[in-house]
Amino acid sequence: MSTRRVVIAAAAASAVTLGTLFATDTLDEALRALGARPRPLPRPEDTTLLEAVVADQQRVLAVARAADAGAVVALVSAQLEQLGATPGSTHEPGDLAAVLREAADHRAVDARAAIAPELAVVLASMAAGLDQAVSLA
Amino acid sequence: MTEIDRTRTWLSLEHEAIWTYGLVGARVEALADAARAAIRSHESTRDRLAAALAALGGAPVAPRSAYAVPVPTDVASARALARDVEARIAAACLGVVEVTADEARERAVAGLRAAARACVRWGATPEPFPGLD
Repeated sequence: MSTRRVVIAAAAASAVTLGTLFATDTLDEALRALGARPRPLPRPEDTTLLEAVVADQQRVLAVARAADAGAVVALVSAQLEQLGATPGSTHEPGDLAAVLREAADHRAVDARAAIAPELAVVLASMAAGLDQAVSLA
Repeated sequence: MTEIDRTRTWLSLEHEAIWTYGLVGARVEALADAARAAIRSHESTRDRLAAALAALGGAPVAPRSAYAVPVPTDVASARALARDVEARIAAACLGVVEVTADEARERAVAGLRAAARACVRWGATPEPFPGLD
């Protein structure tokens, strides 16, 4: 069975960088904190995919904040943090349950599209986590 | 491990789930309907996995006559039993995701999501990364 630390660190390493995170070495620091050695071998498709994932997760988080759904905020924030991203603080009105379902479906599609197996595993698990979060909305 | 190995692991857990839900339904009347629905769902998954395994050329996985699980005595212990097998299925599905692509990976992701939703239905607390320790 895979451990979260190892798989997520490997996934982040395979996708390498998230724009400013790379510029500020924040991702490298996150990887080291997870016990992984940064691996500067970007897979452009996975990097682009991960950027889109983070943007979509930030949107889900904004809707959760607007809905004052603390448990969902915590769950989605944890997903973002494990990817090395900083959870946003914006609010966006919306149907939280519907947004979570949509995001879960998107993560499942993302998992199929991922090139690095480690990234596929993380995105698949995120899809499942978002599915579970619907019960909190 | 190969796709065949990991698919066999998943299939063996589907067998266990069917047996476990049979036990739950027999022992805890209040959960009998939910257990029957779970059995139908897992039987469907079992059949799809058996076909996939055959297509891969893998040896079939037979169910055991019994599984070493605690006998549920009430709703709480039955729910815990259900959560346990669903969580192990979720982890097994992630193992398949790791070694597959395209349709096989899509099937494993769908299995993972179904197991994760089942975990919550049986009382688990939602978590950010189901299937990963």
